[in-house]
Amino acid sequence: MITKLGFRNIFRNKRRSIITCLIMGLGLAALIFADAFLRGLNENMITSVTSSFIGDGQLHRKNFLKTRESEKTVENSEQTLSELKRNPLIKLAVPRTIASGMISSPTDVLPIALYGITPDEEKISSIKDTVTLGNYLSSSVPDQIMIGEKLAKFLGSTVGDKVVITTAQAKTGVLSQEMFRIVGIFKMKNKEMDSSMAFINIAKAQELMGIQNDFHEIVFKFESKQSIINPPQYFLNSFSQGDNEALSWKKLVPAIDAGIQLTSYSLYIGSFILFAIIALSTMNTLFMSLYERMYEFGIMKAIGTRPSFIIKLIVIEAAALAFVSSIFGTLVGGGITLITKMTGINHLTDVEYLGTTIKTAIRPLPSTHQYIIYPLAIFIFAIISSIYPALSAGRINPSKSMRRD
Amino acid sequence: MKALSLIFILLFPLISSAEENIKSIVEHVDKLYRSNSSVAEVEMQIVNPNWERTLRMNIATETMKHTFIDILYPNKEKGSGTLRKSSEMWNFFPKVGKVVKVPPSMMMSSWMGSDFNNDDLVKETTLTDNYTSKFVSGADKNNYYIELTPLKSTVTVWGKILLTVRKDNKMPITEEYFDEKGVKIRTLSFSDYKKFGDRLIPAKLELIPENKANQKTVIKYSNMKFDLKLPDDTFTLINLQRKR
Amino acid sequence: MTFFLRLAFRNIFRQKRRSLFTILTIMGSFILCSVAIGLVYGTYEKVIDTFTKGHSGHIQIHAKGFLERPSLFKNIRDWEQFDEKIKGNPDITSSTPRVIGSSLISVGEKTTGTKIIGIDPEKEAQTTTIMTNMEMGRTLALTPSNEIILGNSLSKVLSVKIGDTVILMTQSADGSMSNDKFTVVGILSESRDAMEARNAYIHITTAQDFFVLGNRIHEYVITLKSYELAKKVAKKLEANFSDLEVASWEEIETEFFKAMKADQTGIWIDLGIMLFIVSIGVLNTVLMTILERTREFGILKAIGTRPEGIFIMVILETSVLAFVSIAIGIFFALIINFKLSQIGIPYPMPIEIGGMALHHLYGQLSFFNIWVPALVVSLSSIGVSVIPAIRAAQIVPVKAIRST
Repeated sequence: MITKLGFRNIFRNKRRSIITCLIMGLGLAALIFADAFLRGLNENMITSVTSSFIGDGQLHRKNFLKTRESEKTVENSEQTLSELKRNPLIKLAVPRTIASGMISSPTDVLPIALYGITPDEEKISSIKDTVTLGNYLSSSVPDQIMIGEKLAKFLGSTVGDKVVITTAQAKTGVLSQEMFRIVGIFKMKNKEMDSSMAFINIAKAQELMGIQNDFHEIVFKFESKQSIINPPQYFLNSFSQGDNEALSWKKLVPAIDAGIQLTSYSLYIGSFILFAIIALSTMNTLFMSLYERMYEFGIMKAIGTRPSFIIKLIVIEAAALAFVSSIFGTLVGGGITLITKMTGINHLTDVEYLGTTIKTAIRPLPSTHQYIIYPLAIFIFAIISSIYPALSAGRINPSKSMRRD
Repeated sequence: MKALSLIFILLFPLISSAEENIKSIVEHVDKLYRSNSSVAEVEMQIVNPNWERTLRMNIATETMKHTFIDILYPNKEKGSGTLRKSSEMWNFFPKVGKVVKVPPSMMMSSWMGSDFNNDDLVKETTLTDNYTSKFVSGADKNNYYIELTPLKSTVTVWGKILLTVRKDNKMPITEEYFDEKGVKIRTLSFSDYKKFGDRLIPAKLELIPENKANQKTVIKYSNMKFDLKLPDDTFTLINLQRKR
Repeated sequence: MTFFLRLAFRNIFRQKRRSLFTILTIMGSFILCSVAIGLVYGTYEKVIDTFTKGHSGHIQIHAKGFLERPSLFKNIRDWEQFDEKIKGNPDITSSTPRVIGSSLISVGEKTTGTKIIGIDPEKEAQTTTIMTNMEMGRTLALTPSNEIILGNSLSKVLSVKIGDTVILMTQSADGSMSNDKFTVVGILSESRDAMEARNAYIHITTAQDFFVLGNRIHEYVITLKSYELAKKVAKKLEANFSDLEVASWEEIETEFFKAMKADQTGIWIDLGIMLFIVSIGVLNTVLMTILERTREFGILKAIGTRPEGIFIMVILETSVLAFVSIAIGIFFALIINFKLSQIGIPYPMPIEIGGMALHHLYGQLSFFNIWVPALVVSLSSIGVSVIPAIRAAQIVPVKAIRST
């Protein structure tokens, strides 16, 4: 009976109830959306960076990244690559060679970082999208080369021109030279990359360095989004046996990880504060409406209602309100999240980072805890907030309260 | 860039065959500085927008594979040396008293700041073997004008080289380097023809890039001797570190 | 007007509990909002401050074209007057000159290329924090010497330790080959993304001799009172250094700057949501206050109060409540923000950015995180009371008195 009474009381004063529900519901909706948005933002940043040149993770020989010695190819290169490819966690894995060398044009000679890639498989990275002039590398023409815009300017060369690449054989240090033709010029919007990187076919690079079928780097991408955001350590460990080392983007681009941690933590605190604001308003609303009804409670006591009944009634009312608000809030929050997820939030496009543009729209990510924990928290808080006023109501002196002021 | 390789090329005591065969002319130019061994005193003047200086050094060579350079002047670099054996290179600086191995990647950068680079010592391309040649018409009737185009397999940045040779003594006058679009990039001029032993060779080479203001490298030979017996330890690290 | 003001005040004091609640809610929302903004901006400020002081400083002056394509020959002469030129500027806290050139560095059999930075040990220490992050050893001696400090990666590539001798060889500014021996006295620490990892540092005078630069330098680094002033001060300095390039840290550390901007946009959206909720909270509170007094307004009208009168009274009451809340709120907000800017909230794990480890989330004491919440709160309270005030003014007395 109490429950029925509780619900009826709510509906009796529609306006008050609606307002209370509004604050709780919208607050909840906002929490849900903010959380989803944050997740979407993080994911967006991570995928933007990893879908660029870097991938979700890379495998090298230990110490290769520090010393860049060209004889430090991946141990058991081909075998490791096929093992990676076969692993169910992995979506794509591509090999690359990396060497330092010089590039000469008729007018100048400059140092470069020479990357040997497999053009077709390099869909993993957005290199193809950065080509502004000419064409992307083709695997059928071995002596093609792609260079950055700044490098092209320094060399005075353009698409179609001849350049000579000089690099050293890995073990002997003997110089080797080859001619290449510029097939495309890229712009990665990163000073380093645009002025000192060049791409050629991996087979040619291996030939130049005399490393046969070995390579220096394997870039891989995970299947699931979960793995991308939280690269599984056990997986990385399993490929860090022997002399190799598998690192995720977290270690390769620590700045991103730091940025994400920073943002997450700041927003975590922000959400906490948001919650506090909602709780405060909710409490206030409940208090106020309850105190306004003291007259009503006075009469109830006067006709013999027991204090405990009144207390329970008030708590139940609060619970009912909270319940309705939770549903309302969840629907609104979830709704907005889903809608923005589908349309994407576009206004952050064109923010450039690490040579890539954050092109894709941010898609807020719903997640179960948003729909369980937050509503529950609000619900519980509403109930707690109602306890003090409920207790006061229970202790009311009927005659005092009935004396309207 | 090809010029330095010319410097260390053997000149055969060529019989002047009456044959005006284009191939023999080109071959003659190729072999101007080539020998089994050689020793020369060289003065190199380098001019560029940032500075200008003159170096004097002794250069010893063995075929095209080994080179030993010993700097005599200026004083700051006196006693420094460079040893090149096949594709490895070391520098020695008396001030620090240490021999330093030059990393392969550094070998391509310009040697001592001149327009020549270390890599010239690597390339074994010759005009004879790596280029096709044909006569073209030119201004002076007393000269041959030969246009050289690289073979498909030749690793080079040049589109063509125009070689001007004197008809009477087969001495080269200029080598003009063009890129693939036909734009002249640099000119190597030969002059001051002298006899060293029984060879007639241009003792002065001047390399001038076309579009770079205030830039040139001038090499002058003196006291050049060919095919002499060099001490066995000439091209060794020990020799490099020796006090000179 | 004063009549209604007095009436407003009396009403407020009459309903002590209601007024108190309202004030508490509005004040609470205000404080929380202010603290949130403070934390977010405080942290960013800390990050940017740490980063810029640790690498680029706030402003750098170079010869024209140096940033685009660095070269030994793009140098600055007569830089001694720089100190004089910037003396008057109150925003500038310190400055230091640098020489930048590349060289081969060799130990035993290992040779590699490196970037040599010639620094003034004393001034550098006052301007940037690069030298405070040492893995081992010490900083350079104040007087010119052949001491050298290596970046972490460089020391690993060369397998070098403190006390070892390295040889530097390069082609100097007059074309001659310079070479000399240096003793390793320090190695910078391994920070995950330090840009200094492959550099080597020597005394600036030694560098000038080594590269035969006479008294020329390549870079003049300036730090300011706050990194936010960089763009403005850079523009002002451009007039004084017209034949040189004056760049703010945003132009020098473009990657970092872009990353920070990307983060901030996301933060703003979240803050926007928070401000929205604050408005709703305030709206809610004010609305309730007004609606609960329907009966009261009915009686007022019954005794002859004009509708405009009721309207003004309601608005005034709300305004007074709002201002009082904000006024008290500012007091608390100032204290809390101040404490947070000093102590901060510790992270569960230190976050490394740009080679520095951040241990705390810091708040910020600034005008910004006071006036923004104040504006939002006051606008929402007053704005929100308009419609109910109108409704209150239009009340039909009989109906109102009959309601609960």
